[in-house]
Amino acid sequence: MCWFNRKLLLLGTIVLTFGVKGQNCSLSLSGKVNGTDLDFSVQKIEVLLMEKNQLIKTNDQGEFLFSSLCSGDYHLVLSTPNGLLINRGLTLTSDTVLTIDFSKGQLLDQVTLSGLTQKKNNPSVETISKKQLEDNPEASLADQIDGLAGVSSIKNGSGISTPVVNGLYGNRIMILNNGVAQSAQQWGPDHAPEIDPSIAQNIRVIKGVGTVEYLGSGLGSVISVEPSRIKKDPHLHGSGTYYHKSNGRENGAQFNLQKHNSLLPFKIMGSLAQGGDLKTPQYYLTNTGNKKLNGAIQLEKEFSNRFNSSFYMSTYNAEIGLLAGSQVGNLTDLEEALQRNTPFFTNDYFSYQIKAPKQVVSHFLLKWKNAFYLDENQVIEAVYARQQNTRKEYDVRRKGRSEIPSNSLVKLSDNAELKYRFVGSKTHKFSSGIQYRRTDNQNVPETGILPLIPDYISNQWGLFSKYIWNTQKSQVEWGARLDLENRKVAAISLDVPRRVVRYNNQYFNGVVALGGIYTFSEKLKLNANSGFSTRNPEVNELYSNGLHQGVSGIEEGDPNLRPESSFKTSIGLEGQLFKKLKYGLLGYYQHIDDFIYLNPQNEIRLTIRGAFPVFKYEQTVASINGIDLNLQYDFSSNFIMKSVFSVIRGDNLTDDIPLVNIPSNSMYAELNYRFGDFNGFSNSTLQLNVKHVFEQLHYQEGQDFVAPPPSYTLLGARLSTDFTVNQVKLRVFIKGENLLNREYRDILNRQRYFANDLGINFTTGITMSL
Amino acid sequence: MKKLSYSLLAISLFGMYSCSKDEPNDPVIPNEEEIITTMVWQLIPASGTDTVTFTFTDLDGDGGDAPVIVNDTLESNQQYSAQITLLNELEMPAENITDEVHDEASDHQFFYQPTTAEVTIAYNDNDGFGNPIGISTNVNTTNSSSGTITITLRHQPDKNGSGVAQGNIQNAGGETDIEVTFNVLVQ
Repeated sequence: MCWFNRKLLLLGTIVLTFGVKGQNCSLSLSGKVNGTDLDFSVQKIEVLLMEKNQLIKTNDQGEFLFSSLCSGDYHLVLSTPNGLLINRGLTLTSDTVLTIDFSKGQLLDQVTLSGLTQKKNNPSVETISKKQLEDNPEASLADQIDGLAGVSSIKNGSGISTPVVNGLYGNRIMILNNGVAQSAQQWGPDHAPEIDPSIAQNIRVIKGVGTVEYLGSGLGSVISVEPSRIKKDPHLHGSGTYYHKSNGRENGAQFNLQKHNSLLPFKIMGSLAQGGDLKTPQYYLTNTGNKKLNGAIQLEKEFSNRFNSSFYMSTYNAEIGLLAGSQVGNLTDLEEALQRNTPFFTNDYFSYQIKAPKQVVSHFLLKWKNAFYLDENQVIEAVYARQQNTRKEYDVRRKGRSEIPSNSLVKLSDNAELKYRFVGSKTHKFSSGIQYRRTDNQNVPETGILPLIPDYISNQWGLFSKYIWNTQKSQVEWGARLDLENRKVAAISLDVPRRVVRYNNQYFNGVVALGGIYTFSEKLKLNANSGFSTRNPEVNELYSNGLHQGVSGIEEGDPNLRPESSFKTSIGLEGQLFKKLKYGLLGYYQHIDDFIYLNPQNEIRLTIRGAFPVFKYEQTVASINGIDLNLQYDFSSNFIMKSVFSVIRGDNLTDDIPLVNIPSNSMYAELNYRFGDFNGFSNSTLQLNVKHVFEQLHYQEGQDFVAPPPSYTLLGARLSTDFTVNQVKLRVFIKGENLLNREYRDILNRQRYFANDLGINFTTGITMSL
Repeated sequence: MKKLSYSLLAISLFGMYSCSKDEPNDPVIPNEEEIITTMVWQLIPASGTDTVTFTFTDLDGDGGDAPVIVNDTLESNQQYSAQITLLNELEMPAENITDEVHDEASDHQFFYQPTTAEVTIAYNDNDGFGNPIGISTNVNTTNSSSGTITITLRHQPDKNGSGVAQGNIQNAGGETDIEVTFNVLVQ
């Protein structure tokens, strides 16, 4: 017997042990499931050998045995009582004993953002699964998670949306692209994260202690887009998806291919899409088409059972049109636009053409990660990542200048980190690390316009530690981090003659977080999280100065802004009532001192384009609090109702007025019915859903150019099924949105000043997997 | 082992820090050729020699210092031939932006909105498609009065909109490039 292999897997390690004897059709495949701190027992786990269609269950010791097997390629599927499914391919050449070790998953899994909270099903961690991602192939990152309790999105039309978690967005939350903090121009509410969700295995929204692991983690929440590891399967596997969206006549295709070669395991992913003008119930939204082309390559190599290395490279490229009628020159234009039923420049025909105003963005990520195992329980990870983010924004300009961007930025970031993790003990887990990031943000001198935000170079150093303590009934998680940032800024003066003005910023930020879970019984768990964190003012908040045409106002930064500091507490309950009703309830309160916001001034400033209201970045004491409630009622195992209620309120405590750009209250419910398998069709599911968004009543007259839009209700439906043709697995779905073709506007969509939101849409899609 | 790794990392981070270019280069100061800093509205009387000139000047563009507005007085019962000149005085020598507007005549139109009925303004040019541009106008005054005149330049207006060719801005749409209000005295 020799140690042959010890691989990283998504959820566990399989240790293959090869014997020397045996041939042809007398081979055996046996195994044992181990696990020290599992949520489930290792007994009675279902094990399916797909090629033989044999299903057995593990015995009391977690062991299983298949015998009389011929040599060849097989797939082994394990399904645990809590719904985890592991599908692994293997080549059988001799009698084989497998050890399936779930407890190692904690150590070896690269994504242990919140090992604790994830495992205990903490309501402060929410996940969008691969299946949900596959069922919404057309959706952007923000749209994928929009609808989770406490998550919504700020949009500029439907082509550009950025996620909002518990009322915060942009620089106040963090988005992880395969474990690397996305470095882009997050300061703009109309800048969508440049990440293709189709590369992800799942997307998680984390609001707990786990967030301390990331440099500059903002004020709390982390959205993590996580590609899967390469399946330990010697065969070439892959899938391809095609979809069509009726509204916008968008066509898209996605694929992925992977193979666990002994030489170099790889995975390749790609997606492309093109859509045209979207449509409200009454009219086309002229110039709202989009084009996307994305790809990723993932390589993993184990050099020994102590050292492995992985390499990941991804690219995102998009061209997104903005509603032609949404470009306004001054306040008079905006007021006129607000009065209109149909936006200016609306064509009465459909087109795929994208002209100014538009955005052309691209993002490139390269990540190289190495893991060294000191022993079974300790690992050191070293990660280097580089990102390049390019953003060009085009406006309608005179004399052919519409082809020249009005805003053109390139941001380069280099990240390096070294982490130590100890996870061997059942009761203690510990991780700690140091991080460095250098960011170089430059305006490309092609615009012929003074830049909106200045050039800068920032150097950040960070240090964190996280500790988890586990007992039978409770878990306590503790984390802290310290960040140091030096930012050197080179701006251009606003007065003439123009000259370079330099600033130097030094910041010292800290996060302290504490969380705990107490299990009263299988049916009732209580969790609580508390944390203190600080955030630097961003360059736009400090130095932006001038006309922000998109919002028809003059924005003035304040170079003397102080960092924000936030204290957040949440308490959650998760449990089950009367066997059929499951619930998750999360209440949170966040108090932010020196909260930076754009405050409308009592001043109208004259320019040659007319008079503009003046907004200044100012600081106040703010609070954001809310309640998220998840309910699930199982009428039967095939008939399930799920619902989400979110209530949120934001206040400017200093002036005793509401905060703007806070989502309104909402509720969502869906009914899912799963049909029995028939004629080769399986997993056939019909879903009906309804979403209701309330009017934002927490609003003071004059805080916005127009009062919040009224409440609205949208109906949707979805039908999907799986079937197999010649060993090719197919999944087909059709879904409908806004089925009643209702006219509505949403408070978090900036396009609401100019046009209605989207009318009826049907998306059909097919996924083929091999 | 742990200590060693940390010190190695600290050294490498410090190395990265010290070898990286730390200060951003001087940003390229853009050639702001598109900005309109100055609008001159010059009215030449049919009889007499007193040329009337209104100017709006904002030499540093949007933001910065406040613009300077110079108003003037029109003669009553007079006919003027009026002309708009747009300049970018950030450029040296100043660039005449009126030419740009003229080159894209069908995409531009000036609108004149006096608050006094004693001043009437009629277009005196066309964009080659039979629609006005509004760079040249005829201005007639009647009795003495005072009020304001708002001059608006729209980019990509709907020139076929109802009344737009006659100077009705309500149905014009488009994007405002200029909106300047002068105080006018007729005496």
